[in-house]
Amino acid sequence: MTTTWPTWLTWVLVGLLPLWGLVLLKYLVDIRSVPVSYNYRSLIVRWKTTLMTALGFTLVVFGLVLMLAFINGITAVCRQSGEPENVIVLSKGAADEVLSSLPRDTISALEHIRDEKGVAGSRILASREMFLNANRFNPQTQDYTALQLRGVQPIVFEVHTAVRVIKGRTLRAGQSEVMIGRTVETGQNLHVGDTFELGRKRWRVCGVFDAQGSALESEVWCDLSELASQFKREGSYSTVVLRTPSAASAQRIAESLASNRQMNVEAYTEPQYYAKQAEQMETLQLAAWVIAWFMGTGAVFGVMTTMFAAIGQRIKDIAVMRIMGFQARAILFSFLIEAALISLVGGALGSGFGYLINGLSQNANLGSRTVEFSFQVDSWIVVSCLVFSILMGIVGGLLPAISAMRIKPLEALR
Amino acid sequence: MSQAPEILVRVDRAVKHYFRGSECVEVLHEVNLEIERGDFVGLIGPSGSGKTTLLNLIAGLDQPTSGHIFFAGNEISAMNESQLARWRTNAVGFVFQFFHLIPVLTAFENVELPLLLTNMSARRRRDHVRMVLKAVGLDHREHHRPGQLSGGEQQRVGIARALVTDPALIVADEPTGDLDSKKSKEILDLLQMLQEELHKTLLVVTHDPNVAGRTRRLLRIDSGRLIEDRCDANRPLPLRRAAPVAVSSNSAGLVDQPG
Repeated sequence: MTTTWPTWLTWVLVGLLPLWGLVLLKYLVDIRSVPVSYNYRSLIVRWKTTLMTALGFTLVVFGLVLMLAFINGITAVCRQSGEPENVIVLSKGAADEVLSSLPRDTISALEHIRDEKGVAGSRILASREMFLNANRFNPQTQDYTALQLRGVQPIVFEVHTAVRVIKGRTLRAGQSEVMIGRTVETGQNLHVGDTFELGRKRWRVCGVFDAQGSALESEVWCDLSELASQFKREGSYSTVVLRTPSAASAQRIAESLASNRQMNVEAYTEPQYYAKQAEQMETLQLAAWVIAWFMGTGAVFGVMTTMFAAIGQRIKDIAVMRIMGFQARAILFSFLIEAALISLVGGALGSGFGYLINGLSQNANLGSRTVEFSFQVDSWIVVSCLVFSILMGIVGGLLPAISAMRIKPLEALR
Repeated sequence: MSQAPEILVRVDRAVKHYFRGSECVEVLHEVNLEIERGDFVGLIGPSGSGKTTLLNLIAGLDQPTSGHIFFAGNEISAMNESQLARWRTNAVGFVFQFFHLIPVLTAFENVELPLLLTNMSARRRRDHVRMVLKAVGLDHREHHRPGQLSGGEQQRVGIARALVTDPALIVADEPTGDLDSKKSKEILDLLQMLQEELHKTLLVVTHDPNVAGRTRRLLRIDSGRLIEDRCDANRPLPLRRAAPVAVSSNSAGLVDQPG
């Protein structure tokens, strides 16, 4: 998964690992034996309390897995979208296709662009495209559903090479017909041969296309001039997509266009464009962790209360163990381990429930477009959520464990 | 062949004060005492006389306000808390009036618990615990939890737990205080067996005349002072084994060790 975990933090943590190891070793050598079997058995005997406390962590971890799997799924769609040889050109200041409008003279200039440093004679293709959102009335649901329409010319199939017709046929110029992406077929329940009303016309579905999991699969394609006339936008285009001979060439052209003041356009390679679209996911990911920490606070107090109650009931056990020779630090560790075990059980349940949504398809807004994605629960999510859960358990167990460590054996047995 | 008695415990002018609010209460007043290895010593006295305090000092659970406590020649009153904890594991076994077994652990696990502090392997621990449980007559109850055992059986588990690390000294605070007379006799028989056959040194705090009658030496304490020290001259100390079992964190040997 594409993660926002800062690289520098990873290196700091990795760099500190030997130090952590030394500290841990020192403690392990000092405490020699922690009566883990006692804590484990106590959890089993009090299984109802253990389970109820663990469920607090289950809810938090489940929520976190859900959010991270959502972000993972969206990010995957963005990563699969865009071909590195393609340059998407938008009007100046437009961060999204739906907000872009390129004038005719700019279009003409773009269609004659050349890569000066590229291979001599290599051709650059230009696909004029119009992208807009429109609502379609669905008689079955008696409701409006959003469609993402892209007006295209026949050259589009040479530019977007990932697109393959999997059912029906391609568009015919000048006809009121559409090709729909694979996810539109399932999401909107439209099939080859179906017709629907949009604007003043009735459109017929002539084919279904696959775009290797990219965002294009959530779109409806139709003839550019037909769409422009329907929505009274003749002579104006949202974007021009340039097909260059190589990724390096695309990079050069994108940079050249972006820095050309006369052209007055925004230009990105397609992977750059979709990566930009996915940037909002980074904020969302941060928000997910922040929310999880806040939710986790509740679970922390839950485990704290449980552990304080448990220690109150087991004060004589602790005293006897201290008298036998168990060190105070061993008692501290044993109760921290007990808290960590509770949170581990909760975290494992939460991750397990979270895993059930793995692969579940859903629609989500990405910029101005709606894309279909699948929740993706990967090992990184499971491990990080478990670590998070255990950390929260340890935080919650710390104060009770310190209180257990401070029990004076003679007073406790009196 | 006679052996010179070996002093296991030496208490040298031990004083213990407590503060009750701003009031200073002297619980022990310059107590001097020597206990020979292998002896069975009873400590009697009225409530609040300081007998449990003296037992706690000798067992390394508390420190004297002044004075010194020596165990096998080493001053335990100079040890810090961590050192004392390690020392207790190897040197002292504890038997309590209310047994204080861990309720969630089985008899086997309760006895095994002190061995977790040694470097003994799991397999040796298992064999050793079974042997000790057999010695106290509870090998058939090893999987039972304390709640499933009678009071007498619980105290036997308590004694097995005290014995399992093969300590030189076993201290018991009212070991029969929570038992009926029949069970008390069984426990006293068991304690006497520890002294006579395993050459353990026993220090027992009691109010029970039956317990006091079983001891070889009886100390009476009152108002923090030892006022009587009586020894049964007709009961010689049991002969020590030729090579006493070493008490260490590495080997918690009992009678199965080569003697």
